[in-house]
Amino acid sequence: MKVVSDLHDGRIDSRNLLVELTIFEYLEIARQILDKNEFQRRRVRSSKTIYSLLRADLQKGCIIPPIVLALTSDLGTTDLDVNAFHQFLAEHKEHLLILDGLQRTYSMIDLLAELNTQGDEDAVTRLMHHRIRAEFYIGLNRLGILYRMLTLNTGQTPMSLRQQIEILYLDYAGTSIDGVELIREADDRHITRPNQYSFRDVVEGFNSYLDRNELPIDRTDLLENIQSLEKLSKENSNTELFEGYLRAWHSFVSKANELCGDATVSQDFVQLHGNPFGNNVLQVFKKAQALSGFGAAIGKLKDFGLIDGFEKVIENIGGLGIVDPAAFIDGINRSLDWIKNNTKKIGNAQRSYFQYFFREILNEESDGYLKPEVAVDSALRKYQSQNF
Amino acid sequence: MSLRVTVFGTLFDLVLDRVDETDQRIVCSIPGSPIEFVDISYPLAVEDTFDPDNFRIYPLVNKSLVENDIFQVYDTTRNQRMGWCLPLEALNSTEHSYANNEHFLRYAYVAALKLLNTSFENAITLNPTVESAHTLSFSEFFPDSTALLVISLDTLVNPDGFNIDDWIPALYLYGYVPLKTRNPEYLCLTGKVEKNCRLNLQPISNHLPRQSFVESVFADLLAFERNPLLRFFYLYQVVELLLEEVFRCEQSLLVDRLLDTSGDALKTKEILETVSDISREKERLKLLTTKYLKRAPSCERLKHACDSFLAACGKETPEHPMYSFYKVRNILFHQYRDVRGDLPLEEVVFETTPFLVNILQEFTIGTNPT
Repeated sequence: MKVVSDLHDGRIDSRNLLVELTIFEYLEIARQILDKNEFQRRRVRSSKTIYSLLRADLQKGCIIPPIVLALTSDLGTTDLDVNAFHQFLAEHKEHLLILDGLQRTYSMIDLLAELNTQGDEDAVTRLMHHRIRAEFYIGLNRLGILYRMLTLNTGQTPMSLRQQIEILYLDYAGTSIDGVELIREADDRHITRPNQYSFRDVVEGFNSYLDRNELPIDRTDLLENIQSLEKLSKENSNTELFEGYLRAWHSFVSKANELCGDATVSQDFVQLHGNPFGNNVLQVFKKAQALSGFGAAIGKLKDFGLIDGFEKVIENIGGLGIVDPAAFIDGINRSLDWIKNNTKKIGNAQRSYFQYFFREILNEESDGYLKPEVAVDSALRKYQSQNF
Repeated sequence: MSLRVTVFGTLFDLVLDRVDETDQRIVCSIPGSPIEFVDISYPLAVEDTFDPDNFRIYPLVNKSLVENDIFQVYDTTRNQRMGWCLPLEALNSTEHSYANNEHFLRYAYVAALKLLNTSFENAITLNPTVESAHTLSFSEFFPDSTALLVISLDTLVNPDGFNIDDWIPALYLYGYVPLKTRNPEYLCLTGKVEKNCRLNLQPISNHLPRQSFVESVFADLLAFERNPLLRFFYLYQVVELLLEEVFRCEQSLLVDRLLDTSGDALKTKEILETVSDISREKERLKLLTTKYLKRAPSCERLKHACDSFLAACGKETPEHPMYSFYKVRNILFHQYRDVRGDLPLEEVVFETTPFLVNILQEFTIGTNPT
């Protein structure tokens, strides 16, 4: 192994080493990082023959593009001696992550196994001595890792949006306030209790607050989100904001649940309209659309100077009142049913509806202030006036 | 050409790589491109019961289309479901009413796979730009308001003989026309299907010649024309086609009868007196609806519309509906200069359209009407 270049990446503030090494040296470190890292993606079972083509080309000694890896900032130090880099890597394998070249790595492992099975020792030796290049980013934090992963797309099967969101907001997954539990998709558990929320939905709602936009996170938004989160982390206030958002949201859901109790949508509604958006108040409001609408509404009210922040929202929520819970649940389902039958993109329209709903009940100047039963219809009228 | 994306200013074909149900996406490769893969969002449950080779898809457009406009499609001549019609946006959402319907999900999955495996030479497709990290949806590849008609070949009596042109007039009545190269922004046709209904379709008669002309009148001309006078003109071109067939048949019958009665002067004279029935257009119109349809249509609404128009022009209203219709036609084609103004022509066009579609479907040669 030899380090052939040592540069500094100013964008992500990281040291970048270009290393020439044998496949043998590479696989020594790569094998161990494949299973351990929380960010590392699963192996892709591709239906294409491109990786079998790669295996054939490797046997012929082709030069493959550099594999890109990162040594994460958990390491604690970036002060290393490049002349002893091999030793350094061996000692810190658990902090390594493959940013680009995961499938190529699996191809090399597969090829080696295939040649071993065939008993072709010469071919194995040739392969193991074949030289490749690898780039190492030293001391990269999570945001930097994700930024590099998103922008390094050549040759890579993209990480899914769900995975990217979870990585980006991983710091928040452990947030614990007032007994609220955030359930990640990777946890493989169902949401069964009022104090449980989908981590991804809460993240989307928080993102809606940051962007003042209730529409779902698009993959291309993630690059902007990373930049926003970097700014927030510099202000050292990102987790506090997230906690504030979550507390405000939980206070609304708890209050709505307290006001509506066991009230459910009526049989008349079901007969007339079919399946409702939500059978009861928890089913209505624990969906991503409501969370995003809430986040966007708070953000806009804050921008308009109508509320100071989440504490004010929590204070106001205490004053919410619902006179007829059953009628309220029927009413909100009726509005959402109209949206379902009359809009080109139902999910986006639902989010916009909830945004108007929450603006109505949290804005002191509106007729529906603290009156969800009034807001249910006025939000729909507002949506219709803006879109039809 | 198949679906394509734009990468750094160059167009590349998309090729299906794999379906990732866990992450709700269809991963496609972009051969030859600096960006190797792109995701297409597919949040619906994967129901892969059907073989896509047993299906065909036809892109349609409907200006009134909303995401929940998902319909089963029936051939009313056999009361047989032959497919589904669904908006492209329905492939990108679990919020519509059919997101958990297993029958819909099977067709939706077939539609998704077929979209990546079908050539759209005669339809507008868009080529969304792929950035470094991108998730697309199927609706980004087509204009707004695009729907897919998904037909199961297994449900057809004669799959090889299936011609989508035969079904266009029926689809037109529901507001759907084929997506072609003309920008659907200019579409004037609107149509709304009742919730929870199905598309009940009947093909036009196979006794008709030039089905492609009929398809073109509905899909390329009528659908994009707002002016009622021109719309009537286009509709009447189809009527002319039908009348031509009536004339051809009647002429042939006349000749046969004359040959049979050759030498009998009295019978020959009687036959020749009926020549006016076929030489006059209004009589052929009457014959069309009395002799050349499997089932006689109701003319009440059309007659009412024509009579209102004639009354507004200060004209008398004939008794027979087809005479009334013919009189309207004459005024528009020959006396328009005398009757311009605020005339209820829209109503005439509105009633003529379904009436004409019905005639096209019921047209027959050689059988007596019921």
